[in-house]
Amino acid sequence: MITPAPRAPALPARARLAFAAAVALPAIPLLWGALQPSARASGLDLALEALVVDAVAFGFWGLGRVGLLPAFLVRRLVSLVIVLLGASTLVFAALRLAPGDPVDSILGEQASAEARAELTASLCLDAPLLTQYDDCFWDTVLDGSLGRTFDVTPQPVIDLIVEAFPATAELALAGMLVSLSIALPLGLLAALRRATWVDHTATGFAMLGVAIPAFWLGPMLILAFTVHLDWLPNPARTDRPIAALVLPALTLGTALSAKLTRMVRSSLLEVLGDEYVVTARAKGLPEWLILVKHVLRNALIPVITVLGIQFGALLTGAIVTEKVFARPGVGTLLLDAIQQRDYPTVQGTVLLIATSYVAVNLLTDVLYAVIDPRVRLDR
Amino acid sequence: MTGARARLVRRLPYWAGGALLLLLLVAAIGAPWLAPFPVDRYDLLDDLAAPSAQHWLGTDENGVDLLSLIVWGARVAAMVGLGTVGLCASVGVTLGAISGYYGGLIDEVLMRIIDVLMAFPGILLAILVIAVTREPSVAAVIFALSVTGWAGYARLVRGQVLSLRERPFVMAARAMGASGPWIIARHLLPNVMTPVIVQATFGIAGAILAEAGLSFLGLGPDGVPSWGALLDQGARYFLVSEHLAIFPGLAIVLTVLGINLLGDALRDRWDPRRPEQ
Repeated sequence: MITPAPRAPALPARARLAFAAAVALPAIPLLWGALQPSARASGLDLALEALVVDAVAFGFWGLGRVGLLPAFLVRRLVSLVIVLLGASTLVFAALRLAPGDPVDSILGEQASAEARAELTASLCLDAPLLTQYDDCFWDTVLDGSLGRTFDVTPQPVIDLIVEAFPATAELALAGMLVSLSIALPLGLLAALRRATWVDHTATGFAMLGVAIPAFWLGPMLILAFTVHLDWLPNPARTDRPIAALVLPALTLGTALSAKLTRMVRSSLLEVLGDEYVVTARAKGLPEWLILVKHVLRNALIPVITVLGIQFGALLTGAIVTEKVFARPGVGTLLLDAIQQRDYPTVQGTVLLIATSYVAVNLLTDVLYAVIDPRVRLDR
Repeated sequence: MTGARARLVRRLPYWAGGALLLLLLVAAIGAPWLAPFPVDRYDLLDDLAAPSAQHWLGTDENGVDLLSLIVWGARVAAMVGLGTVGLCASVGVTLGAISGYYGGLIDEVLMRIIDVLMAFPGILLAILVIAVTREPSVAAVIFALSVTGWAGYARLVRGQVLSLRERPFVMAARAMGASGPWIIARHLLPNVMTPVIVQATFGIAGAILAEAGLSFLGLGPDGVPSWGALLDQGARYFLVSEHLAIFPGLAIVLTVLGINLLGDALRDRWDPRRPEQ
């Protein structure tokens, strides 16, 4: 990031902000608690927890200072702390600040006063906001349960997620595999045969692929391959799990493969014109060796980043795909919870999807730096 | 290929995209006059009818003409597409320009907020916002999609302004005593509009897709025909009436494809790195 400073301050803006944030983090709940006596205990609790967060962030910084962590990693880890804190607060706030009373939504407006009071208490909506944030949000995150489902037989939300996760992971992995096995050869061909019909077909596919939503492609694939051609079993059948995964994986993978094809093509085109490729060619290396040793190694680096960034699209795409094919999974869990106004489950599921998304982005960044040493030097 | 023909072929996506976008707008504005049948009157004797001379695209499970529903759906698509982009772009451009021009603490705080928003899959937050809204309206959907949507514009404009603010014409304006807001409005914003317009074009397509997705999940605007909701209903009957699943999706694909073509054409036209045009 370029930071042209008009006059040189004693500390760079980023360091001053980091310091201010580290002070504000415990100070805000403490002050809030002081102003609202009913929430004093929660304020203290949160302030202590904030100090732990501060300690973790400063720990990363310290490890960087003594040279145990590379500087780029320290920056990523500290920003991971900020992002996770911000994202989780966003989830908490979205559920509380959105218009509409959840108690009304669940019970309807004719419900008795006792039923309303009981529900308000069990949803933890009767406490001051700060207490809600502490007891009903962070404590459930910290004890690993993510709260209890709003149900006749309440159970920890995390159990439901763990139960639903394998199906979604299977779908996401299969979708990624589909997209890579389409995008790599297609992007490669398009770049090598630039401005021919191969290239035009590939770019046309890429254009169409991003415009076709999964919730249309899915039914169309079922119509084509299950109903009319009868090549594949009904995806709802559980006795042939691999065959039943084909259409959902295609549905999920197509949009991603379209984006990746573009990326592979343009990245290859850039590298193909580089001087070291010209040199390799001038040395008389065979074309395939140039391609494997020089071109692909460099061209695929940005593709990895895109793959990481698109992981979120894959997760949210899985929600839609699961609905299209009536598959179990985290997406189905989320949609069912929304239908039943089961707020703890909604909150927990969204929180976990967001966290895994952030974590994958961090991993991508780290992987990127490992593969491409140039990244470690800048910033 | 002669020069004129080559130019025509090159400009084909531009015209095709523009025409499809125009078609969307015409359908959106003219829905009450263009739709051949009313969409609020059920005709249960004529439900799930296949496409015919009377009902070009067939009827749905309530006997409502599908073509009319799709024409009305264009209105929701256009409102969400333009509304979301309008809100996101105006907030994003303003904050991005301020952040880039003034720098310092404002910039740092804003960039960290944007980091958080961009670290969140946008559609997920939209799902969350809609999930707690009872009877969501079109405005609620626009709001839900804009919560994270403005961040991209802010980051784009900030980057542009950072590189522009040290240029001689800005320094000259500053030397002449122009105020910050004046320089931003008169000298910087006109120079960053090109990439913003390109991004906004793609943004319209993205918002239309997102709205259709939300509606398909049952989280779209209440009480108005939306393409995504039509697909959701159509998916329940698509084994008996394929047209219900095919046509609303076709409307989405054509609209999004058209807008993306236009966005690509605009980007190519304005990209200084491209030698042609």
